[in-house]
This record gives sequence, structure tokens and C-alpha cells, in this order.
Amino acid sequence: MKTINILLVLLMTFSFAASAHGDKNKDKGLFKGIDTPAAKVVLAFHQALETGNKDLARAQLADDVTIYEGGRVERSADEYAHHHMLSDMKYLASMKSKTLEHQVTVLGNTAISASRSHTQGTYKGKERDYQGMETMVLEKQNGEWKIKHIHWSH
Amino acid sequence: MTKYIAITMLSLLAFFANAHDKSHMNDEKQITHIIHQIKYGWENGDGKPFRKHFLDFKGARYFESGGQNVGLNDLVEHHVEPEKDALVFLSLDFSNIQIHIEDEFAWALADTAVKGEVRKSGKTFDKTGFQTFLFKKVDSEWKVLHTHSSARNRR
Repeated sequence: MKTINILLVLLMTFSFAASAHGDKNKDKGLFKGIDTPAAKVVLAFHQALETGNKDLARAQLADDVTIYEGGRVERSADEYAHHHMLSDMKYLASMKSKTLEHQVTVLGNTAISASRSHTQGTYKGKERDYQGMETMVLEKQNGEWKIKHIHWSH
Repeated sequence: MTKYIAITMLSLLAFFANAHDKSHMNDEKQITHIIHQIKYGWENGDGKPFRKHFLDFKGARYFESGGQNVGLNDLVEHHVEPEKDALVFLSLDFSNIQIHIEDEFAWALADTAVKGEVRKSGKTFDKTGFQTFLFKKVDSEWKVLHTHSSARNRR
């Protein structure tokens, strides 16, 4: 009986400690607002790039999106779709990327998304292993969230 | 009588349109001023403009070319202020500033040019790139929520 009681106390202590650790991570706010409709557009865009779905990726962008990437700028969705989108898709297909944190905040008809990821893989014979940052601004247009601005850096 | 009503309505419309334009202009002025203050802060390793114009909130993130500072204190104490000792000089220019305002939220984009010299190694750098600023209006004042800068060697 005594052993059972000790085991129960230990289990409860372990459960409390695990829960406290979970809450601590939650408090750190590494993932916030990712269930919002605006965040779903961001996630759909990421998935479309990773799976090479050009139409789906293009559909998440506002026509007049501004994209900052690696010291370059693209000033419309069509410009991006016709230039770097395909090379980004090819690149991401050979990489493994893990989101380390992602916060999305909705402010009326605008939303902001900030995320950090870890990317690893080999592309064109070169090994890559780096941390990437992404900032996005989204705008609700005719009831649908569209990406108005992207800033990527690593 | 109808004529007077029409004139009054047109005058009111003109007045409110003008007031809206002025308020928009004031917002842009305030945001541009903050961007100039940020430039001053970086160039002089001075955290005061950041403490004044940045919204200090839990979870604030500031990105710079693959790195980040978490929270305003981290940005000021571990990035802005140490550069005063680490660099002989730092010159930061923002150009082609585009400001977008949506009610109580604003975002600004800018081209950047940054030059400097590292004290320890004597190495110099000369880079160009881009900057994203996100703002929120709090008690009638614009506050910086997030920044993201990236630059590469000038070509």
C-alpha cells in the first residue's frame, strides 16, 4: 500500500512538473496566433512553396506584394511568380525546414506574421545549415487574407 | 435653400477630407521622424531613441540577417549599445522610404546602405539591403512593433 502511495505521489509530481514545463514553453510565446485565418494563409503559402504548387502559392499573394529576399526585391506577385518562385520551390524541395517559432498578430484588416526556422540540406552540391527569419504583412481584401509584404533573410 | 444645403454639405466634406489628409500627413511625418531617430540611435550606439519609440512588450522580436533580438532590452543592451565600442564608425542610410498606414497600424519599407569599421580587426564593411518596420499607434503615438533588416556586400 505504502509503495502504491509513493508511486502515486511520484506520478503526480512528474505530471505537475511536465505541465509546468509545458506552460513555461507556452509562456515563451514561441507559437502564437497560428490558428487564425491570416496565419492559415501564411502556412498555405509555405506548404505551396515546399510542395511546388505554383497556383496555390500565387493565390496567397496580393497582386502588389513586395518581396525582399537575399538583397533582391520583387514588387508584384506576377514578377515573383515568373522569376524566383520556381527556383525557391526547387531549392526548398531539396531542403528540410523546421519552424522554430511563429507569431501571428491580427490588427483589424491587417495581420503581421514573424517566424524563425532552421533549414538544412544540400543544394547544387553545397551543404546548407542556417537559421532563417521571415516577416510578413497581410491584408484582408474582399474578405480574404492576402500577403502584402514578405521579408526573408538568413 | 437647396443650394445652401448643398454648399454646406460640400464645405463639410472638403473640411473632413482635408482633416483626414492632414492627419495622414502627420502620421507619415511622425513615422519618418522615428525612422530618422532609429538611424541616429544605431549610428551613435544610443539606446534612448529605441526606448522612446519602440513598444516594449513581451514577445517583441527584431530580426537582422538571420539573427534576432528578443525583447527591447536585449536589442538595446546586446546590440545597439555595444556597437558604440565595437565599431570605429557606423553610417546607416535609409532611402526610398514607403509608408503604408491602415488605421492604427502602419508598416514602412526602406532601402538601406550601411558602412562601418570594426575596431578590433580594422575590417570595413559596405553593404546595401532592405528594412521593414512595423508600427502600432498607442495613445496617439506611433510605436515600433517589429523590425527586420537584411543586407549584403555592395556589388
